[in-house]
Amino acid sequence: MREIVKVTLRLLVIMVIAGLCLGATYTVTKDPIANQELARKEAARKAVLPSAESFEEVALENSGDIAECYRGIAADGSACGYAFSVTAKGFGGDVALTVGLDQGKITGVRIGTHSETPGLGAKAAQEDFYGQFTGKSGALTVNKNGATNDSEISAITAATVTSNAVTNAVNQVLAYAAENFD
Amino acid sequence: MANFKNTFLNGIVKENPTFRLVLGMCPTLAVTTSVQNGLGMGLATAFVLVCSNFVISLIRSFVPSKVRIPAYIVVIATFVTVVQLLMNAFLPDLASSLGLFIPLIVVNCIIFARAEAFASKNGPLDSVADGLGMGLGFTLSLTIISAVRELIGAGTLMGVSVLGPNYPGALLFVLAPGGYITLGLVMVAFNAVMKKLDSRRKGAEGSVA
Repeated sequence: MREIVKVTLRLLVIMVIAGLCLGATYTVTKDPIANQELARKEAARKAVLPSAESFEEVALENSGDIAECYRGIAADGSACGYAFSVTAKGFGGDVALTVGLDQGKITGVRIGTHSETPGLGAKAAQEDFYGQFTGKSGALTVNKNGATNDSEISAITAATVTSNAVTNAVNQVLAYAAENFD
Repeated sequence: MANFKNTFLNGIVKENPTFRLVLGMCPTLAVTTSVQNGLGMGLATAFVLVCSNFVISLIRSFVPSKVRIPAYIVVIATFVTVVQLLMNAFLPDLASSLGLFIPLIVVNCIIFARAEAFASKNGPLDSVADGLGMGLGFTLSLTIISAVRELIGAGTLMGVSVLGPNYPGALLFVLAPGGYITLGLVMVAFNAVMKKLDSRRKGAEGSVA
């Protein structure tokens, strides 16, 4: 009996100390982590909508995979397009995208966190792929043999699922914006 | 000090966790698709291993042997979580490149195996040496495997093209089967070299005696 009490108490001490350490670390790091997250999102919005000086959030309705929308405001105070964050269903899980639009034209696309296969789908995060979207509009399609016209995107070699997922997500944003904003 | 050095080298070569102890196979197969990932996982594991070995060695006489397993797991999981939170808060660049691997460390059996087999029986200094050796041994193994896979699979090393832009790539090596094949072949090579070195050392000792 005494043995059980001793073992339980010692384990309890270890658990309590571990819990206190976790609690203390969480309290100390909570705000910095939230700030980092905000800064990262802000940086992604700036990257896809370079003409915007600041952003204000826009409420969304029935937006599917689109999570957030911000209206870009240029240095002179005029509106200059929108920045959307949208989630695509990739090959290895969710792919976070930020898409910038101005009057129905894509001003930029950036890939955030993803878990695509390194060396294959992960190439979506390289400019060779996401750079293709800039300046395009309408409904985009993926071409495995390389883009032949303005509404086509060259697929990443051996990563058709990822290429399609990203393109479909961008199409969703284009369709949503066309229906609701313009 | 000689002891410290022996314990350290033991983990890198003689008891290399991947090729000799065959521990931590899950991260070994999963993350070695590129050198950057292999190296990152190895270093993150080494860091947690050193810290957890040190703490477990310090509390080894306090922890009753009947409940040592839950106690060690709590210590390791706490460490991993604290490291992850601190990295996310203060080293965001490092966190974005290693972030994926940190939670995986909890389930890496190397950490637990060294806590059980070494840190619970040895002093803090030796345990740190063991953690360093094992951690760097693991890093070395992952780097070798991922270098082979990245080079054959994508024709690059650390993301820099080595075999030229016309290299077609071998998808097999980037995907899971290539991981098994590479691991097997590198393990064979490692053990063949070790065997040769061992027999040569024995031969040298024999001639002296």
